[in-house]
Parts: sequence; C-alpha cells; structure tokens
Amino acid sequence: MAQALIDRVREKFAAAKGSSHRGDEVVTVERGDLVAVIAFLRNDSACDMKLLRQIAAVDLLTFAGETTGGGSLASIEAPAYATAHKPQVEPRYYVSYNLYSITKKQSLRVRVDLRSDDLKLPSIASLYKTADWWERYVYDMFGVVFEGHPDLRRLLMYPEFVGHPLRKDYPVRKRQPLVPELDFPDLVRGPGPGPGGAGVPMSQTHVGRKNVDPNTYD
Amino acid sequence: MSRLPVLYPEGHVPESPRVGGEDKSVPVLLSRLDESLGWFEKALSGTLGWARKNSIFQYPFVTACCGMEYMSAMAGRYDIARFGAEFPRFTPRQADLLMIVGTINVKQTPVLRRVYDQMCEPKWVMAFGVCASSGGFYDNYATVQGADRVIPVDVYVPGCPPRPEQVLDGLKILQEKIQSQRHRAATVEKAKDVG
Amino acid sequence: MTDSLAVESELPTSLMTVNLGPSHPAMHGTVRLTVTLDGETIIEAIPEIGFLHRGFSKSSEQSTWHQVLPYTDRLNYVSPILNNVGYILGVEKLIGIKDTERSQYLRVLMGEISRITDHLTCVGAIGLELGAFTVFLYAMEARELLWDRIAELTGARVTTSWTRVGGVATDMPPGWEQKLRDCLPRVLELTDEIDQLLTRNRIFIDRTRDIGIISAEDAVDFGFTGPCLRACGVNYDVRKAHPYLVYDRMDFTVPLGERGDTYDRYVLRLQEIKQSYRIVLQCLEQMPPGPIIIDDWRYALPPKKDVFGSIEGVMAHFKLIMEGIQVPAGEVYVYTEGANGELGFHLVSNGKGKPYAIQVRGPGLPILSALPHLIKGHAVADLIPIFDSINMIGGEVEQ
Repeated sequence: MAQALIDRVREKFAAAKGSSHRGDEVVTVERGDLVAVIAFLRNDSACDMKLLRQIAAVDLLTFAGETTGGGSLASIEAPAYATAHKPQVEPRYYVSYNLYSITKKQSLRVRVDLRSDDLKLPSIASLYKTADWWERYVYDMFGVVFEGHPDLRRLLMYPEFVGHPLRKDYPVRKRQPLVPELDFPDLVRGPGPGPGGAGVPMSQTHVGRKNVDPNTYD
Repeated sequence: MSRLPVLYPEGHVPESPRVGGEDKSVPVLLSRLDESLGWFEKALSGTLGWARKNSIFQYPFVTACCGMEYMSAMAGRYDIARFGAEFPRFTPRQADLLMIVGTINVKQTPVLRRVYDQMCEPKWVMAFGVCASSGGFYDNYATVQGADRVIPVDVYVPGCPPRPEQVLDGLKILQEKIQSQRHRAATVEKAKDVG
Repeated sequence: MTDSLAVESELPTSLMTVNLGPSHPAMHGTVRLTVTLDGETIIEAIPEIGFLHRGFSKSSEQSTWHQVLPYTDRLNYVSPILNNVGYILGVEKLIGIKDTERSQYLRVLMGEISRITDHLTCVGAIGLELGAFTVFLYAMEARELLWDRIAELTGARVTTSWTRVGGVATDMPPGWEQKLRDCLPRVLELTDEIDQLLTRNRIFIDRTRDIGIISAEDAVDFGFTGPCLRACGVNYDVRKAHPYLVYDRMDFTVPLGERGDTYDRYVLRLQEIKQSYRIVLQCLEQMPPGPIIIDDWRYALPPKKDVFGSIEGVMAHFKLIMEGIQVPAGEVYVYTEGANGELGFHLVSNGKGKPYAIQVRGPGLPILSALPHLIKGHAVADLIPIFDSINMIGGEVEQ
C-alpha cells in the first residue's frame, strides 16, 4: 500500500531510495529534495498526506560500537580516553519525517541523512503548522538547525543550557543547575519556628550545609 | 527571654521520627530548651502549635503524576479535610505548607525557590513522592535529585506515586513535628533568606 | 455619550503582559503562558514548556527494554496502561511476535478502563476549574472505583507497568470479573450525574460554547488527533482506521463533534466513556481462557518452577534479566489510540538488550502548540476551559 507511495515519489525524484522494515515504509531522500518531496506528498491528491505526526532524529554515533545497548559515551563527564577514541560515524544523524494521510489511511516516513559537520535542514514550518514545535524539539535535543524556521529556539531545555542532550556524546547525568544545589539536609530541624529563632532556614544551620557541585555529589 | 546560644546539648543524638508512631514516641525537636521554658511559654507554644497544625493551608506545587494521587487525597474517599488541611491556596503568600508534588527538574528550580521565598514564616515543606524526595528513578541531566537540594524539606512522603494513605501519614507526622516545635506569639527578628 | 466616547478614544491605552506561570493551578502544573492582554482580551499567547522534561529518551537508553516500562507509565500518567500497551506493541513489532489471545483481550480491557479514567479526570478538571466542585468529586469517586479494580489486577493504582513482551504480567484474580461488573454501573451512574449537572447547564454552556473553535483543516495542519480532532468532525480513530489487538472484533462507535469548540470536546469525552464501557463488556464476554504470556523463553521469563528446576530455565532467566531481551536491529513506529489522541513510539534498536533510541509522539504536544491559535481573541477567563478541554498531560508532551 505504501509501496505505491514510494513508487510515486521515485517517479518524480529519482534520487530517492525506498525501504521497508516490519511493515513500515521509509523513503530516503537527499536534503535538497526534502521540501519538494514533502510538499508533493502533502499536496498530491493521490498521496494527500496532510498529517505530520512527528519529526524524529537519531544519532548513530554508538550504533555499531556499543555492546550493551544505546548508551551515551559517559555518565557524568566523558573521560579523556573515550573522547580521544570516539568512534567516527558519518553520516552521523538522520531525521525522519512521519507523514500520514487520514483519507487514504497510509503512512510514510521520509528520511534524510546528515553529517555532523553540516547539521542543517530546510524548515517545513511553512507547509505544516505542527512542524514548528517538532523542529524546535529536534534543534533542542540534537542541534540540527532548520533554515527558514520562524523562531528557532529551545523547546524543552532552558536557554542557559549548553549542549544538546540527546546526542550520544552528551553525558547522561551531567546537570547544569540554574540554582546552586545544596548538600544533605539537616534531618533534625525544619524551616519552621524552632530553637534558634523564628524561621532559621535549614541552609543556615550548623550541620554540614554547603553548596556542592551536583556532578560530583551522588 | 534570652535565646540559647546552641541548638542541642552535647551528646544528644536526635532520633528520626518513626513512621506512623504514637504521639509520645516522636522525639523530633526535643531539647533542653523545652525544660527551660516557663509554663506559660510552653502552654502558648502548645496552643499555637495545635492551632497551626490543624489548619494547614497548602500550596500544592503540582508538576507530575503524583498530582493524580494528590487529587485523590483531596477528594471524598481519602478526605484530607478531616485533618484540617483541605484548603489549597494557590498563592504562596497565603499558604504555609508547600507540597512539592511531582518531579522537579532543573528548569523548575528557580520557580520553586521563588515560590518558597515568597511564603511567609512559619512555613513547612512536604516532599510528596520519590521524585521530590530524591529524584526518583530519573537520574539524568534534567532532574534535580530531590527538592531538598534546592529548598529545605520537612517531611518526605515516598512512593511513586504514594497511596493517599501514605500522604495522610506524612501529614500526620508533619503535624506532630509542628506541635513539637517552639511557637512564639511574635517574632523579634527578621527571618533570614534561604541563601 | 459621544463626549465619553471621544474621551475614551483619546485615552492612551497599552497592552499588558501577564505571566501565567509554571506553577499555576489551571496550567496543569507545568506550562508557562505569557499572554499579552488588551483589557481582558488576549492578543497573543506564547506557551513555554520544558518544566516537566525528565529525560525519558536518555534514561530509556540506559535501561533494558523491560526496564523502560515504568518510564512509559509516567508519560500519560492519567491512563498509564495505554502507554504500556503502546510501547510493548512497538517492541513486539520490532521483534516480530504477537502475544497470546487472552492477553490481547486483557490489554484491550484494561486499556479501555484506563481510557475511562483519563476522560473522567479531564471532565472532573473542567468542572473543577469552572467552579463546579461537585463534578470533580463525583469524577474522583468514579475514578477511585476503577483504580481499585486496576490495583487488584495489576498491583498498582496509577503506575502499573503491567504489560510484558509477549503478554501481560498478571491475570484476573478470582472474583475480579464480578467486582468489575458490579462497579461499572456505579461508574456510569456517576458519569450520568456529571452529565446532568453540566451538559445542559446554562452557565456551563455560556462558558464553553463557541470558545476555542478550530476548523478541521487547521486541526489536521496542527497535528491534532484524538478527541480534539474528532470534535472538529474528522473521523480518525486509530482503533477503527488501523485496528490493533482485538479492536476489530469489538462493536463500538466513534462519537464525532460538529464545531470543534470546548463544549464539543467535553461532550465527546462523556460519550467516549460510554463507548469504552461497551468495549469492556464485550471483552468480558469474549475473553478466552488460556496463557497470558507466550511460552518463548527468549522474550518471556520462564515460570518459576522451571527457573528453579531446570538448567535452561535458569539460563534463560539470567540472560533476560541481566542483558535484556535481544531485539533485532531496526527502526519502527507504532501508533495506538491513546486517550488524548494518537500515541506513537518511534523505536530504534541496534540488536542489543537496551533500546538505542526511543522518541514518543505524545498527542498533547501538537495540541498544545495550537493553543495560541485557539485562544486568540478570547478573554482570559476563556483560557481556563480551553486549556482544560485539550487535556494536555505534561508527561507525554515533555517526555
């Protein structure tokens, strides 16, 4: 069913390649054709793919080398060994546009491969209004810049955050606190009125309360 | 009335409150200060403590899934109103219990600090759920490992999410703690900032 | 009269920016809205999210395929079983297996009960935030009855983590079916009471009719699915369009709205509760006896007597727990009808025991992104029913 869609796409865009896995059809296109392919899939009456469900991105850095699964290179800080011997994989990323046609009941994924030194894609926010937030999500999590996006800023992380969390070389537990994190609380006293004066907060009591670096304290 | 220069006498090891224990076995804030109080101060402290513990105005700082059990604890079956704590005041200026219901992530910490700072003394904090107590099982770049890394917490109610009965138990422990704290008719000095 | 009008037109007015902050009762906890107001009318609203981002994708890369299940509970935490079912269907699709027949019926049964609890919570919240506290209490009581049944079967009220690859974890305890049959009429009775209190209530209709209207094309363009899309009249329900599990054997209708306003979204949810009730009864009628999990020890834990009694059993148990299920490499997108819309999981496996990448398509994210479009031109007081009716659940929007 969606194989017919792939064939239609390949009629018009010869560089596209189709594949299928467990019943899901994917057509891989070049970056230059991306907007044209998606516009075709949206506007052509036989395809009529008016619903953009998701824009997903995957970082293939540890796909082949990882022995236990999909984990990142490090937990808190990448050790010098891992950084020096980081596997080089190109193209490192791919972005997948998940389209659906409500009238024809067909799904198709459009995939674009990206190299890590050239992480840009044209924005399709002019075609689908929902692409706005999905592209911001991919930018926030992976660092893919969408050219032509009306307002490309982080969606989920805060503006002071440095880095892109879902990349495989971002350590899992590396927090960047906005407010200094404090140590073990004083289990004896609470912040309410008590001996020592009204409302002396626990952070000011004498028992081991100091600012700690959240990435060393566990 | 002079203030004591130390918080506890030497060698005194305070025990942590027993979960669900009887009133007489919760030595949360006992110290020789109690013995040195005159009977009037003690009676006043006891009365104010009784009044404050039975009319808690909560500020439910609801973020995540624990909010579902929070709604259950408020509703008819696990009625929190029987303990006097049914009034959620959605402004920190009018609340005295900050219930941190759900996960606190790093982006939320300035908001949490500001809400805590805006509350007036006396104020207490309940960490509702394991995410607020210790970060839960979200040990990653986004989640603060417990709200007590940012603001001081009085009572921790574990559970993911805790059953409403656990919440009520936590409230009861908090009430015992409030009762045993020293309450004054008026405060003499300004409260210090959290820092 | 003309004098005062003339004076008024010369008065310098300016727009006011108000922050409906992230900790706000009507923001369902975690959305920050910066609204620009002209008097009471909203000129522009900018939502800011990220206050509940818990790193689901990153944490799930560190866990085995089964250890991700508790994380999925907390996505749409009002109907957790639907998330469990959606995720496990994805893993099963990647592996290429199907679960047993009884477990399919159980998944549908519990999924529909979970959908009822989600709609009850949404309707209760709509009532609560418009001032109808009784509606909230009735909805909570109905939800408690259902949660008791869920707790008796799965072990937990809210976060169940109940499905497993190849089946489900627990079966119906003895007497459970009768208890369910006894409590469902009471749940429907409470739903009818809510209906009587709100649906023809003049005040409720004034506050929700023609508020937050969105047209069908705009809705599809914004990526709406689920009750918010069906309220605009577009008939897209994954259970009917691409039936999965045993939904093709169930007889139920999909209610549709007409105008796409808040009132339609509310009424639709009440009607969906009734349709879910029909599905639950049909599941109870049709459910066959049998095993609740497949007998393949590459994916399902062996029964304890084999773990303690045979070499193969203990080896299979060890490998499954320590290394996780070895899912063949590939990429798949599986979509089910969550309570708010199409809940999708984009799963990538590299052949090992832990997922390589998981990305959730939460139905709430596109709907929330359309919020500025929905509330433009309305008063601030209208923001509350609109925001409630879209039923944004922070967990699935922000993963």
